[in-house]
Amino acid sequence: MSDVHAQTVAYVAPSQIPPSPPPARERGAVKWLRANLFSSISNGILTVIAILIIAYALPALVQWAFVDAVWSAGSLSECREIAAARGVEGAFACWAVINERFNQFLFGFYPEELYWRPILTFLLMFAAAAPILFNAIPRKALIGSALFPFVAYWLLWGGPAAPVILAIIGPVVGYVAFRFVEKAMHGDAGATGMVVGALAMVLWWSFVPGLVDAGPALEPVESARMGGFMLALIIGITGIAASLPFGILLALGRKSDLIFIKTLSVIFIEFIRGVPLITLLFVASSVLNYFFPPGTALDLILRVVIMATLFASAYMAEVIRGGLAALPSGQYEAADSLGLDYWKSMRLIILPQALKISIPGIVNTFIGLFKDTTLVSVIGLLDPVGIINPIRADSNWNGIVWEFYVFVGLFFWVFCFGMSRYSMYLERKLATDHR
Amino acid sequence: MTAITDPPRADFRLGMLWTDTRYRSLTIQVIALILVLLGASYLVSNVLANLAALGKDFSFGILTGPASYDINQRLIDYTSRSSHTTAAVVGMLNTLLVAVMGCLLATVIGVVAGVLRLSNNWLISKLMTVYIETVRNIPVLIQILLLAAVFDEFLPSPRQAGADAHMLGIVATNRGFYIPGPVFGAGSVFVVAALILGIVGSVWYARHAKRVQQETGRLLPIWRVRLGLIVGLPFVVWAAIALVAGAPITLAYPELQGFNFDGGIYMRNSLVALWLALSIYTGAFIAENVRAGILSVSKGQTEAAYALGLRANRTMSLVILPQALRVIIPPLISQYLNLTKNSSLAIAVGYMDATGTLGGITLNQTGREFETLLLLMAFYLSISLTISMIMNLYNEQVKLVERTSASGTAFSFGKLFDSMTGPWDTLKKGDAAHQPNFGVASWLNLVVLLYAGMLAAELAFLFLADVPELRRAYFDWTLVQQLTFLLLVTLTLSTLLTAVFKHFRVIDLAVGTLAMWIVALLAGNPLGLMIPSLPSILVVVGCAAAQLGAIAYLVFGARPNVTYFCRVRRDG
Repeated sequence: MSDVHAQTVAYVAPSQIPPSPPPARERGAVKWLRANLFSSISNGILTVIAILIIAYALPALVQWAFVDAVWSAGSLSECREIAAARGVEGAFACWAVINERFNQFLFGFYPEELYWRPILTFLLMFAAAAPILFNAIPRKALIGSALFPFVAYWLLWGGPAAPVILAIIGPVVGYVAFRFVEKAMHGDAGATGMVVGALAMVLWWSFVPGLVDAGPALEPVESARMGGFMLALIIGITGIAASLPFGILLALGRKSDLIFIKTLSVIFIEFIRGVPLITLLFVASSVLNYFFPPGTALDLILRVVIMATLFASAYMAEVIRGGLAALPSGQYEAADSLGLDYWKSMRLIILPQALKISIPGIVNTFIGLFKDTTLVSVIGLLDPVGIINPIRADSNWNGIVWEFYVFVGLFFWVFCFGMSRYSMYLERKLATDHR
Repeated sequence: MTAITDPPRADFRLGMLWTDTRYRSLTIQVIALILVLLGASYLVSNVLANLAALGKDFSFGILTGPASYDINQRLIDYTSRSSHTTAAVVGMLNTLLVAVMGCLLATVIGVVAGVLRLSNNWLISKLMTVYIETVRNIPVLIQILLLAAVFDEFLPSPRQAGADAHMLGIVATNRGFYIPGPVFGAGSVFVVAALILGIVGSVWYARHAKRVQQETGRLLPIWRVRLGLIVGLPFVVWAAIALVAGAPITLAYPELQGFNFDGGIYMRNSLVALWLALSIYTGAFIAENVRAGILSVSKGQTEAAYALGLRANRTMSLVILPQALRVIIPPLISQYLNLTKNSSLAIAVGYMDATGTLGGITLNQTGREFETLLLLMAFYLSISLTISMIMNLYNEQVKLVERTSASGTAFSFGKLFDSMTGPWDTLKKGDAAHQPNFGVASWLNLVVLLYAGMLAAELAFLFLADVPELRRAYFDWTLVQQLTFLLLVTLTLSTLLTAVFKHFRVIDLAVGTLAMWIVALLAGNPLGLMIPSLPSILVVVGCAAAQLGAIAYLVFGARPNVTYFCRVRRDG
């Protein structure tokens, strides 16, 4: 109880005093400036330095990239003439070179009259990805996604349709073999069925599609003519899609109780993660052909895709292993107590949850692999970085440096930044339901 | 009535190999082994058939032949008449050079950017966000190529650069960067000795100050005195000699001589471009790690430290940093690993690192893809495995010890000597109260220095001293000699690493190293040639004695403070 009452003090205000506005320095923009930019002397100095840097760099950058830029010309000297005619002094961007060589940056040396094929493939890719990314789309559409790799190969490389159709039958053959084993073992196929199914599929692929050369043919395009962002996307997307199953198997192998399987997985993963991608690409370009029967000469892009897949699958395995480890052990025990065998518990209980946890990591692996596709320029493939050198060597454009790297870098930046935002969004979305 | 009945003794049937879980895992592994062996033999037979069709064989002999190409950025002597092996070593050293420089600069950039991104200055934190998000999402190859191209195209030629003013003596030309380099004259030995003395003295002083603090609670000024010892002492010696007989160590500034600069240290554009680009790229990743580490320490820790009356800087060094470092360092080390692996992109700008020499020109000249790529991969793999070993050791040191389990029953020399000086585990589990010699960890640094010196000598002997008149090349040794020497190097390296991390098993490895010295001597390794200017017997005896001294110190001397990083929950 307080001793102060209305009766004991001399004066009590009859009404509430209206709140006076905060002092000018404690509100609005001034307060924000004081709190966020000039909260102390050192902060103020930092702010002034930052403002000076921005004031120096940003206008110069805008001037270079937009105001003074030349957008269409036939050569660098023409660019300079146009700029000089406009009274430009100092550096300016000659975007004309990107403008003129835009198709090469997109498609490499793919025949111009066939550009509709990669474009169609690119659009189909979104159609194929949609059922995987969004649950609202009917599950039947996943069949279309499964067909996409074959259609994409046919569209990009051309050739007769019959081998492609026969190749599509491959997974069907594998599945039939799997069901056959399952039936023979009374519904308890597990690893045996998977091995037999995979073997049947690989055998089918290695022998049958080469037999027939019939069917409607698209004009074949050599691998050497592919390049540009198309090539980066081919290697990146194939690598990541193919590495997912391998990565899952390796992660399971690394967590397995079978000491031999575990050792094999650990050696593979640590070896791949321990060497730089460039050495693996050297293997692709100079050694990999030795591992196949004499007489087979695999296409360079195929060899690069094989090595990129192996590379990505090691990283993928570590990401998925993280997901497996993050799962509470109660889930494993619950699956065991239900009487499920190893593969059933993995397929029905463990992997769906573990993969969901690892999705952000998988996206990060994809971003990493996509950035690393630029390395194929070192072994002579004409990806966006590789295609810069022939253009720089062109006497018309000799002397241009920044424009190429800014353009290619911007493309990769947009793609990777978008993907990383998507991964952060997924992380937030998925973080709600297992806390 | 007995409740337990014996299980029916089923006879073993062949089908049980698959249906009985007791045997199934064995069956699966045997089948997998057979499949792997079949696959491997298929691949090997393909390789052999393909090599035979091309008339090639598999041997490393060609590597001792002359390389006949030039390397214009090198740390050790090399001419085009040197062997491919020497060229590979030059490349490996170049890889290590750019990796170490890159790690240092990337750490500086990353820490600064990470801290500034958390700054309450809105503008600065946004600027850092822009830097991090821009650089992280652009392939590092593009950044390397861009920097190299900009250096080549836009920097002035040496002639033009010579006319301009030098910034701090650094000259940037389109042929490379020239920076002032030290020139060691007469009397420089005293300055270097003063430096070493200063370092040893500062280690001793830190130990002394810590002991005073433990005993009396009095704080001695540590950093000022240590700085004075390390920087001030050599400077005083330098100044004294300079007054008497002229400066013993001077800086040589690059001077324009004809078409090029001379003097100082020369760094090719490709090296600088690679170095800067890798540092900027990796720095952005490190910045994110640093930010995550700082954010991971809850604000309550700071407030608790303040409540205990600690000042801001001691709060940072005693409370915040140890906890943040536990989060920061593991990803930091894996970023170092990434930087080292990314340094192989040197080949894109023509910097002759291991990839450029061994995997580039040597591969193309000799046409031996298998051998060169195997060596190249082994080189990178050994770097990676070493770094991840360091990381594992570190993680073992910093992991929170929740329940200390019984120490195993495996034999260890540490345990053998436990009877003499008390059990290791007391030291391992205990905290400062159990350890009268709290600051003694510093003296372990001398053991570390000893092992570092021995490792350097062994590695130099193994790879660098490829001088025909001095000794034969490594590949000409007998297999036993090669193996024993490799083992010796590995053991020394392991001892060094465990000693660096103040690991209590270091003594086992030290004993192993000593044993390997003896085995290597018996196997006829030319150990005496390791330090060419000294007589053989002196080298062997000296090294063995140093090794013995280290072991004796580890056994009988004060124990290393292995709780340095550990936070241990005490019972009760």
